[in-house]
Amino acid sequence: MSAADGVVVGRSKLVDHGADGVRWCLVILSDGYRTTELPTFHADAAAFVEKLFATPPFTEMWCAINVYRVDVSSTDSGADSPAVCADGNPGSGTTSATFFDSTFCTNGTRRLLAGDQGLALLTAQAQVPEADATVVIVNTTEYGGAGGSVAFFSRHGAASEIGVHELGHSAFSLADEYADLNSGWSAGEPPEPNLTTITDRATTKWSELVAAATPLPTQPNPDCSTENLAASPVAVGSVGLFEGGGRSRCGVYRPEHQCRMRTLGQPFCTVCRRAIRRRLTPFMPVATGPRLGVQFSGTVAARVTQRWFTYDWPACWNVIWTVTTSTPVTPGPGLDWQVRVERSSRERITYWIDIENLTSTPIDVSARYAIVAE
Amino acid sequence: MRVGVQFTGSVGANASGRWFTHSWPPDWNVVWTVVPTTPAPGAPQVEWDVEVQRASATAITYWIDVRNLSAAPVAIEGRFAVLP
Repeated sequence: MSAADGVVVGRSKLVDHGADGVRWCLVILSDGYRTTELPTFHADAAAFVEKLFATPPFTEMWCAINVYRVDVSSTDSGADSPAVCADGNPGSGTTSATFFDSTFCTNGTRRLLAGDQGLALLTAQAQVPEADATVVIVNTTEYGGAGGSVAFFSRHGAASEIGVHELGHSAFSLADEYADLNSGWSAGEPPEPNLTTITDRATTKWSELVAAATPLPTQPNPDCSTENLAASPVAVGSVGLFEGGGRSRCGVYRPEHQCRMRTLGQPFCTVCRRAIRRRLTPFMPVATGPRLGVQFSGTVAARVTQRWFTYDWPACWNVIWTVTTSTPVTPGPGLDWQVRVERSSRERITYWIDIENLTSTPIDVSARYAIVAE
Repeated sequence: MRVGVQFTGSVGANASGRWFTHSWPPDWNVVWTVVPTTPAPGAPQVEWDVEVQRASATAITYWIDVRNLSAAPVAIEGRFAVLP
């Protein structure tokens, strides 16, 4: 049940926003996929990438990110499923010989699916020396995942949701915001950016995000024997102090009523989004050039608006368009133009440029671009 | 030169949205662009106009109107480039 139970097949760059040294590099590994099942892993990895892109703040930070897929085949399909688990939830009792030795029931909790994190990190770094974060997709449809130094998650229907949540742990040091285990909190002030024990308005961890009118604590838990599942007493998205988080029901507070770190399907809360942005901002494209050019030239008939389009521009490039004419026109303006934009795919943009001839004679026009970041 | 994303948001189908961003130094040469982050191949999705307010001797406010040209909601990001 180790690296002897499979082989590293190779790597593919799924998202390429520039040199790895200046981008935040995410590596997606496979576990429990036999060689013949690697096409399934390819689809699973692609689905995870799409989910990540669709999840703010990753959408607006997308240009900071490169993604690699590393194909690792295993001897067997699936993951270990211990028949007995300390939380009382039984498994099938099967064992699978897989490269990263993924298993359910990690730390006695059935849904915690994890494996050999050290081997995963070594494998990722061997394939992608600039790797910043590593996730492992495990070839089982049972619900599960865990986030340590490496995020593991299964192929369950909510897999990509689980994956983004676990990535919140492993890559951005975010804590769980649910409160399913302990009645009280005894660990002192947590280091994670999205939990605090401090209830003083001036010094609590995210004090600058709390409106003056928001009460603190915003939602205490009146019964520490159970998780407080009551509706929010403040508007959705309000930042405050909501008691319960870090798997404890009392004594620790989370920033908002809901968050991806509390409930799958929810957006990341303001504080978690901020933490992710802070980590990724240094990897965003910076100004370059500018790189200048003429994309097209043509003639526009009198009093006519003519449309051009130009496609397959990298979506992460910051492009400025201008239009000029070489036909002398006096007095008054000769043309007007409007740029319209189409996101033709996750990574590509089509620009549509309408040029209006304001004169009563034909004019020659040219459209110029300035690429100011790439 | 500096570039970045100043705002993100969503615009309803065939609707417009307005964003403003304040306290920009008047001596900065700032160019604004808007790109969709919702892929929808086949036709242009957004256009935009920039209006400028001299809020004070030391500050400019930019108002950016974004029009969704499509029949579906579109997520957008507003990008700036501060030219040298």
